[in-house]
This record gives sequence, structure tokens and C-alpha cells, in this order.
Amino acid sequence: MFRLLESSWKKILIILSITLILTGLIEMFCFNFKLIQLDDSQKGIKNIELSEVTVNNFEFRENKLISKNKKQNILFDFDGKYVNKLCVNYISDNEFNTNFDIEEKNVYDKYTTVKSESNHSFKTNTFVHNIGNNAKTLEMKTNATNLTITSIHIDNRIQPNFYRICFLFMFIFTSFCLFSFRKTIFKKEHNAFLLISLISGFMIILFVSNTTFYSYDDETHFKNAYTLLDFGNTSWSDTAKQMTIAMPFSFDSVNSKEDIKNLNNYLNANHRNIVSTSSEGRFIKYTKFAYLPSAICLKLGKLVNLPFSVLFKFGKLGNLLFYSFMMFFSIKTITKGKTFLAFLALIPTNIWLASNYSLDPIIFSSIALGISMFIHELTNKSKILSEKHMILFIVAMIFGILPKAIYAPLILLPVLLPHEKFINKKHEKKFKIGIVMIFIVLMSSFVLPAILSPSQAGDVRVQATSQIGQIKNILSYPIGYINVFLNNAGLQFFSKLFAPETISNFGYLGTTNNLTYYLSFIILIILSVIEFGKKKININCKLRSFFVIICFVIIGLIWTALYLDYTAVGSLEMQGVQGRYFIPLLILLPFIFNITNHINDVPDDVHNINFSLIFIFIGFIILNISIYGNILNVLCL
Amino acid sequence: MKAFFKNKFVFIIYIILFSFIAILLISPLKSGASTRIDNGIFSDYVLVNDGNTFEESFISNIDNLNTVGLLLPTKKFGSYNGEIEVELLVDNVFIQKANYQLNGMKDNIFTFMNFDGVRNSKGKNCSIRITFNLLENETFPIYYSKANSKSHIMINGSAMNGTIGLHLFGNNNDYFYAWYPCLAISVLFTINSLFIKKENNNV
Repeated sequence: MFRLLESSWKKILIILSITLILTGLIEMFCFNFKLIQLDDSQKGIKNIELSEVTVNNFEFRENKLISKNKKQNILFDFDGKYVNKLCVNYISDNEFNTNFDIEEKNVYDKYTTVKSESNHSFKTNTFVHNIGNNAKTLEMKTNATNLTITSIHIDNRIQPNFYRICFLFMFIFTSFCLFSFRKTIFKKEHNAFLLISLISGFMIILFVSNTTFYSYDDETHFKNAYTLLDFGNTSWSDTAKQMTIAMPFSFDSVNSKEDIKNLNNYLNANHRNIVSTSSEGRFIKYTKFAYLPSAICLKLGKLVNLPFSVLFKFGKLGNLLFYSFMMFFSIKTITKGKTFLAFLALIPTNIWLASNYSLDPIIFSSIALGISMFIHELTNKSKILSEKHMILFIVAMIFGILPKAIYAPLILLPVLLPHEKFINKKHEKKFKIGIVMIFIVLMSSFVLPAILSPSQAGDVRVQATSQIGQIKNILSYPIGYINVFLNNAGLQFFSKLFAPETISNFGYLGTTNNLTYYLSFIILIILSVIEFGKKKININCKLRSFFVIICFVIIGLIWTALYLDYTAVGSLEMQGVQGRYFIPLLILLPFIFNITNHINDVPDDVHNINFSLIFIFIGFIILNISIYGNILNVLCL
Repeated sequence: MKAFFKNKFVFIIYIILFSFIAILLISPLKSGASTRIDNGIFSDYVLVNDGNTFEESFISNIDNLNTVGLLLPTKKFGSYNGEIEVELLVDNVFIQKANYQLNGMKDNIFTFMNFDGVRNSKGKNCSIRITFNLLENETFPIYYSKANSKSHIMINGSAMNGTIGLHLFGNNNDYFYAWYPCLAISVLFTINSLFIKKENNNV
């Protein structure tokens, strides 16, 4: 690959130049067009005299607005002038909420009221509200208990947006690269995947603010990764400690690039001193191995004394690198369904989770590597079992299963390897008994603690949970539990496997738009039909049935585990089951519904390059629409 | 190593079986399944709306103290707003603090606050200090469930009355000691079976 890049450096230079020019032009003339058109009197920073605005429950004193009661409002009259950003400097000792009612010009040149809402932290002293339109009036309603507004101004400067430039540059550059090297490097699916995964993941890491409550339980995952830094005694700064709780900054408090800058300044300033230390055992518990990629990157960042705003992103980078390279090798190894696996690995949920503090990408990529090794062996029936592939299968699977033992049945896959893969019966027996042994031991990490030492308290985030209480409840009413199980797991089976929350989920930033979801879903179906229909690598019925059993057992374990730990004792509703837990099973589904067809009965060289790359490129487009719509447009303008 | 594994198939199976027996034997003795210290303190306290602190000391009879369960009076109407801060001290040395948001909590409550776990707490003098930071005056009548209160009480305003129970949980071991060797042996056995194949193949 590198040799190829070396010989193509001229091409790369041309791509870079075109990308830079295009990025500059789009940023300047598309996104700043309205600002360029403004007359000079409206451009620049315009201070608003606090004495001249109409206020309610504010007192004007010493050139400041000081809140009097609990609910205040300010009315601005802009007289239809263009307002790009409204910047408010304040002092508050509590978090507060602001509602904006803005009379904005719509596409028919009429004014309509647009409502929006945001929260503001007492830890920073400025918030910026993006308007980017001609406005007649703006009413700002707050509910602060003790708020002092020191100044307000309109920012109508022509400013290139660093985040948008990065997005445009990376999108255009990656697209050109994929097109220009489509017959060489990116002829292989795994190379195209690696580039897209790293670029898209890097964009997510860069654009998402440095605080928690963006991805599921990211505060807990950050805490666990950070605790591993010093193997024993970990020192915590005030900032690091704050990141271990959900929402150290209220959810809607970062809405602009200025807010991001303020947040980073606060985080870096409070990261200088150690405020507490925590002591852990010297050995890493088996459930915490999956935090190593993040922990290693956090450690490296700490060694070079990175500011917290970069260090926090560095930890996420560890996850992304691990995920991307594991999936790279999985796609490279798998002999059937390469494009399907590459596309599945690029669905918004997976790239989002890989670019945040999360265990799911580590689990998914490790399991995907294991399955790829297994499929490679399964489809090469003429060759004797490869030690390298099987060792990698065992190691990858164990690494993926240790944090969540519910996936343990997947390690049983090689049990159905055909006899031809082994030298003799004794050899086959030994290997398969070994696999079953590993399965039993892995399952015991899930089952034995629940039976022998059930926790009195279940998950602390949910009230009235108790493992021991739930087990007693199930044992007392087995039929009742079966009913509850069927009503939950049975009825929600398809929605959990294929719903938008499974495929196109950006955590607390919401699911991506419907178009990206339907497109992803349809392409996954198309790929599972045209890629898996070849006769020559057909999978027999016995093996398919085995896959089905494994999938059902895992689905049962997922629901049961969350019923024990995350659901109030005796509840009729099983809580906490999320679509992302089922993503590893999606790799196996096309092998189960492997319908032989003639769509693909054409020579490989007819469609090999365009077919794969086009679908992978669509995956890239879906990701970029999602990143722009759910992250950049919301957090970084 | 090779000599150890070669043709030791049955022997290894026995090791694995014995390891599992060890798990079954050791774990219940070691763990005792989340021992509970039921202090049941703080009865008849009056909570006011800002910063009431209560402290209770006890001698721990468990190794790893890790959970505090707090039984608050159940509200029939309205909800708790604010947070509880629980500090844990061992031999008068501050160990850890946990916060729990009460915002919006209505009925129940068996509130759990998890600590990372205080190791080797057995026999030590532990203290739990609880601070209630309730946000604002309650503006509606508050009722308590029959189970947790002395009587049916209605209060308008900031103060409220009821019984608060405290329960402490922990366990006496964190690990299944035999689990790690079991996993290691199973993996070695399986990988070894692959290499035996190679030797045979070469022959």
C-alpha cells in the first residue's frame, strides 16, 4: 500500500490542492455568503446597550442586568436586520435554562416565530446562540435564580468555521481518494473501510464536545478507562473527576464553536491540580480488559502532558483505532460477505460508538474478527484447520466476550466445523471439547456470580433493582417469567434487531434522519442477498440451524441479564435492552438466510470493484450526512 | 510444556473439572452473597430543605463495603428534588463520597449508592455521613406510605417528617479465584490440541 502511495504522490498532491481550493470556496461563498452580502454598517461586532432593551424581572444597575425573580425575559428589537450570533456574557451561581422566541424571515420573506431552547452552565460565563437570519424581534426567557448579565452583543463577523472546514476537507479529500485509487488501493474492501472509518471517526471525536452524556454511559466508561491509568493509585484532577458523572455540563449547554472554546478553557484550567486519588487492585478484572485501548491512549496523552480537552479526545481515539484495525483484519480475513461486513462496520451506530467511550465497539470488532476467522476456515473445506486462525479466533472471541459474557455462545461456532478440517477423530474431539470447556468457563463468569453471590442491589441507575430479588421472583413464578419474557423479547424481536436505534443511532444526539436509516437497512438486505447467494460457498442446513440456536440463546441471555440487573423486581416490562446489543448477531444473519440465487452467478471480474466500492462509498455518504446533521450542525456552528 | 500436554488429555480434563469444583466450593464460603448490615438508623428525623447532615458509626463485619441503601419515606404526591451526598469514613479517615440525584423521585424508595468498594473494612470503625440537599420548599401536601411512617402526615411547606432507614451492603470477595486458572487451562488445552495436530501431520 505504501509503495503505491509513494508512486502516486503526484496524484495525492493534486487531490490535496483541489480539496483545499474547493473547501475554501464552499466555506467562503456558501456558508458565509449572507455575511459577505451585508453592508458595512451591519458587519462586525455590534454591542447591545443593556439600558435600551426591554426587560422583565431584571434590574439595570452598574451597566448590568441583575435578575430579580425566578423568571425573567428580555426583548430585543432587531428591526429585520441580519443577526448571525447572539453572544451573552453572564454570571450565575446555578445552571439555568433559556427559551428563545425569534421572529425570523422565512423563504417567502415573511416573518415567522421560531422557538428554541438551551441550557447554560454556571461554570462558564458566556453563551452564544446561532441565528444566522434576518430577525425582527427576539424574546429571551430565562429561569435563573441568581443571574447577572454583563453584556450582550451581535457577532456578524465573517469568520471561517474551523469545524466545518475540517468536515468539508475530509469529505472531499476522502471522496477524491476513493475515486482516484479505486483500481488500486481501494479495490480491496478493507482498505476503503479503514480510510472511511478513521476519517469519519476522527471527525466525530473532533466535533463532539469534551463532556459526558453524549454516548450511552460514557461517564462510567471514561471512569473505568481512567482508573486503569496507574494500575493501583490513580490521581484525579477536578476536571477528570467531573467527567465521571453524567452531565457535568447540562445537556444543551454547548451549542456553538464559542461554547466549545469556553468549555475547553474551563476543563483545562481545572485539570492542573490533583484533587483526589483512587485505589484499585493491581490486577485488571476480566470485565475491564476492554478498556485497555482507551486507557493506553489516555496514558500516552498524560505522559506528554496534554491539556484535558485533547486528552479526553485521545482516550476516544484509542477506541477508534482498535475498532478500525480489528474490523480491517476481519474484512480482510472473511471469505464471504466482505462488502456486507464493511458496510455493517460503517453503519452510524458502530462508528459513533467507536468514537466515544464505550465497550460495544471493542466487543463487536473482537467478535467480528473471531467470526471472520471461523468463516475463513469453514469455507476452505479442502484445507486442514489453521492453527493461526483458530488461535486468533479463540483470543479475539475471549477478548470480546469477557466484558459481556452474554455473547459466550458464539465461541461454540467451531464445534460444527466439518470432519474434513481435522486429521482424525481424536484430534477433532480434543479441539471441540476444548472449545466447549472455554464456553463453560466464560459462561460461568456470567452465571456463577448471579447464582452464588447475587448482588443485593442491581443497577444503581434504576430504582428497586435487586439481582437476588429478581432471581427469587423468577424461581417462584417460572411460568409468569416466561410470559414476561415472551411479551418483551418476543414482541420486540424485530424492532431491536433492525430499528433505527440499532442501525443509525448517535446516542443522546438522537437517531440520524430517516433517509440514512432506510438506505442503510435496504443496502444491508441487498448485500446479504447478492453477496451470500453463491452456490460454491453454500452453508449447509445443519450449520444454519446451529447459527439460529446460538442467536436465540444470545437474545435470551441479553433480555435475562437486563431483567436481573436493570429492571425493578417483579416488573412486567424488561428494561434497559438496547438495539446496539444485537449488532454482533447481524454478522451471522446473512449466513442463516443464505438463499442461493443467480444474481451473483457472473464472473467475479465483471463487477468486483465498482460493486463493493459503490456500496462502501454510500456508507461513507450516510455517515457524513449523519455527522453533519446530528453533530456539526448542532454543536459546532 | 509439550511433554506435559502430550497425551495428557484426560489429566487436563480432570484439572478443569477440579477447578470448577473449587469454584463451587470456595465461592460460597468466601462470598456469603452480599452481606447486609441493617442499621435501620435515622428514624423520626425531620428533613428540612437545606443541608441536613446525619452520621452513624458502626463496626463493619464485611470485607468490602460497597453499597449504601437508603430507605426514604414514600411520597404519595409530589417528588423529592435535590440530592443526597453520602460520605464514607473508615477509622475517621475520609474514603469516598457518592452523590445521588433525587430529582423527580416519587414513590419507593430504596435508593442505592454504590462505592468503588472499601477493601479490608472488616472489623474497622466505619462511619456513614449523609447530607440531604433538598432544592426548594415543597408546595404541595406530602403523604407517606403506611409502611415507612409512623402515621399519615401532611405538611405544607419545607419540612417533612418520616422514618429513614439505612442499610449497608458489601461482600467478602470480588473474584472467583478458580476462574482464571480455569480459563487459562481451557485455552491452553484447546490451543495445544491444534499443535498436536501439526506434529501428527508432520509425522
